[in-house]
Amino acid sequence: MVVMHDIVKSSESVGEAEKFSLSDPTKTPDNIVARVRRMTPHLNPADRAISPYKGGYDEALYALSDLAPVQYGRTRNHLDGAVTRLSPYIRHGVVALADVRDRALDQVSRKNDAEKLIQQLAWRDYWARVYAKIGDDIWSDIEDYKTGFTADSYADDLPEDILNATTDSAAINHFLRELYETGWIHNHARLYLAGYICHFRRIKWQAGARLFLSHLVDGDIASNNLSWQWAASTFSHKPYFFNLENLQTFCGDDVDTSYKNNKSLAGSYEDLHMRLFPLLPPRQPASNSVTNSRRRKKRAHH
Amino acid sequence: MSSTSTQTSRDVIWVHLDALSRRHPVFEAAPEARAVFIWDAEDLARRGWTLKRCVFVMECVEAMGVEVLEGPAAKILESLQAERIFFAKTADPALRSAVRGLKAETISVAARSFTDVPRDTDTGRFFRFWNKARRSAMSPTVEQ
Repeated sequence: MVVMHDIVKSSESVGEAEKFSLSDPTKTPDNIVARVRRMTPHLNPADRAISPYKGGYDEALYALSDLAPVQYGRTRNHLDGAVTRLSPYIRHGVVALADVRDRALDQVSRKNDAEKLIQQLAWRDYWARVYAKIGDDIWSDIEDYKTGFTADSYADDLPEDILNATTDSAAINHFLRELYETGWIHNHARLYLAGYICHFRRIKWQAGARLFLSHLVDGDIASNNLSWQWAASTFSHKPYFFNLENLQTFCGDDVDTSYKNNKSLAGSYEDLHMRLFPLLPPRQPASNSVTNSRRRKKRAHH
Repeated sequence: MSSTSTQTSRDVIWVHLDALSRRHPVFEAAPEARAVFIWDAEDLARRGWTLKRCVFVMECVEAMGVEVLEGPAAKILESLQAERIFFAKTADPALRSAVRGLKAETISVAARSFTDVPRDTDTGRFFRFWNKARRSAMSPTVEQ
């Protein structure tokens, strides 16, 4: 077994100037694109987007060489955070989860510093195990929606404005365009899109899952569908949703998160909860819960 | 998994979408075997993959330097007249169905494990699983 040694050796030999960076998709050799087109007649001639992610083991090693477990743990929820960008290579088995884990442990002086990263890898292992158990049922709701609605209340198909990235939210359009053009978006952006499609637009998670699988270069049916079910609430205790303030916290400067261009996402969590899930009991303000919890603890101390 | 000590020239490694790597243990299981990837356009069409996904896969395959054949995977695998077909273990129903019913002996080889948990571990929610898997997930791979 030479995999880990191979990775460490190769990544050590990668100089600073050669550190992992996404490829210029216009530099993908024409012969590969032409070959794929010739061998895959179903492809739409109008579909011309090439991912900046380039396939192959050497590319995966470059990405591995940039692994930064501590920074990942601190910044992974931010769209400009130190995420690994290894997911396309993991999806297609170019590198194994164990390779990434071993590299992460190698990068830290204290094992716990790599835990956030390794826990995220474990989600993939977990989804794969669930998929192995349920097989084709991965396209069915594992549980009922916890939104106050039944599955019949959700639309089957994605509307044109989502397919064309022309919704009334500039941030949502940004994520959709990035998905269509590059085949990769940050995990938090995936959650925003899932929350938006399922709950702001009340569309079945299956429609969003199909969209992701057709575009994501790391599209893996287990991680993808079960994450969509998690956001939809058919494989979790509650629906995932967000508000504009959350977007403004995590999106950085590249995404237009202005109120003017994202009005439909604005509001407190309590207000949005009432708007999106009117059949559920109102959500209690989080700050009150914290205050009440502190009061209870204080009383307990006395 | 069967012993690899009696490999013949009629052994084939079927490289598929879930394991595009020569470092996968399937190559250790059959080091002398003919390695082929099958570009199954009908399967890709059913998956609905866009050009960028297909190009990424082709780049991975080309980087591996394995033989690329075209056609329905099951039909091509049968046509190879292999005695044994080795392939990376997969949960993908379409990939699994391609090896079902072949005349050749089919041998699936698992990737190196990431976690070591009992088969009946509760997977109802992630953190129940994580509580059982954490110790092994946080431990480096032990070289065999």
